[in-house]
Amino acid sequence: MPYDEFDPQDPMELVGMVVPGEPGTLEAMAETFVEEYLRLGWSDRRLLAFFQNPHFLATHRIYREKGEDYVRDLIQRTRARWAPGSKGGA
Amino acid sequence: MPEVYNWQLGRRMAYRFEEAHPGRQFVAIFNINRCIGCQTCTGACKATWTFSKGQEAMWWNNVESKPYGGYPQHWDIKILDLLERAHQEAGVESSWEPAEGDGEQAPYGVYKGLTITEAAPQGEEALGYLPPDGEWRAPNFYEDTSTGYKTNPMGYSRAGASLPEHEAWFFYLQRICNHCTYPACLAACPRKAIYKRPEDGVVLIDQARCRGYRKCVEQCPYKKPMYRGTTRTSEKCVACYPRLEGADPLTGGVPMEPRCMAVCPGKIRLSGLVKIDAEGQWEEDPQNPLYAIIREEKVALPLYPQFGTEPNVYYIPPRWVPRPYLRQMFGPGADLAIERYVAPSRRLLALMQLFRTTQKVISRYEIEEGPLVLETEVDGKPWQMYDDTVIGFDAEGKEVVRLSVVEPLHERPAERLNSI
Repeated sequence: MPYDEFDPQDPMELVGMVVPGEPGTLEAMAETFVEEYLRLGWSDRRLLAFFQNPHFLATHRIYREKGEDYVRDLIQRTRARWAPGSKGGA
Repeated sequence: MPEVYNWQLGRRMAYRFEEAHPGRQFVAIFNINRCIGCQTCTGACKATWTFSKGQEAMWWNNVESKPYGGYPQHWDIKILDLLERAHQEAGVESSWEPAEGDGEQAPYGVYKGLTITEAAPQGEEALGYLPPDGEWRAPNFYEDTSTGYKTNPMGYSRAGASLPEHEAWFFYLQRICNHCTYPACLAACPRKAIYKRPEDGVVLIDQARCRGYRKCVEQCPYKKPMYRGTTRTSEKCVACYPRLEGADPLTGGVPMEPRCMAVCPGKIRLSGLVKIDAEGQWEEDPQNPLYAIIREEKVALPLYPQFGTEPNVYYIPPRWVPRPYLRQMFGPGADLAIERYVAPSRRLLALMQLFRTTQKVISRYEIEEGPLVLETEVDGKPWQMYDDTVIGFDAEGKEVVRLSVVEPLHERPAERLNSI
């Protein structure tokens, strides 16, 4: 077998495991990340990019699962709750 | 075997040596809620300490994705399993008695089970196992590591790697040596090559004495000593002690945070030194941010306290993860820690601003009260936010950082996106 051919049966291969979740935990994770980084002063654009970027596994998973509208709405809701006066622009 | 007092367990426990404590202890807090698994800490540590021949598979700092990820693979599952079997053989139940808690002496209650030193097999200092070489092969094996993909002639994939997907509740666990108060590696060493520094409690392996018997690798429950074939000795995280000593010219002689802490883009890490009294207990020091967050606010918890080594790296547990898992990993303090973190006190909210704001160790803080800026509800309870200002001071009492709870956002103008 060529070296670069992927073999899921090989215990030394780099394969992924899927972790079963519980209802509501994906949303809780999404809320936590938005809240943490919003309170660090991140703009809406930067927060959205954090979800759009496939290299951030945790947040991109939420983006794909729930969609961009959900993420945009979550950012707005979290900003209204934690930083009501701020614009979140730029 | 002598007995020592472990405040995380709320009781005395068996350990190879009599109590002997440093004057100050290196302590760190990692906020799991903010970690995005970017591995900048891992890279910084690698570039500083483990870039040489024989250290290729060595990661003194690693970030693993839980629950399945681990470095070495399944390290915690394996030691938890060994400990559980030891309990079954001894007919003892592994449990906590929170009601027997006693303020500073036993803040999480009393641990009724066996520690790894108490469950040690005959002739050994602690319960443990030696991971086979393959288990050190890659951090996050089975987790964030990509599956195989075809590369272009330049050696990379334009489409990006195909990554495994989790249903929901995984989180990143940041791991360095815990510089334990009662290190199992130190107890295990037949050469007495491992020592705990009296000035800062950092645990080091004397490379001149070490003969590579790997008993430390076997008996450290966190699996942080690692064997290096080229020198035939074991090595481990040194807490960047030259920086901690103030030897880096950048700080002018005052203690500096380790590299992994100083580079964190998510601002999840805070480290420094706490004062230890003659009995080995933390001296009351509410103006030290580490003391305030760990001992008073109680939002940061030790990793697997039931192992009994009294680790000195503390974690703010992730809010979204099922509680039974968190209680197993961080002990019975997990519920209170999350409750207090979700609706932080006025002081805690200000203290959280200090994380990774300066490379200098913040020895003391002060808070200047500011105006009320927000009234809201958290989990159905009223909660207020004040725009207080937190000021951090270095070891010489010099102000090194000043931040408000509501920090202004400065955006670099488009024409100057790159400052170089």
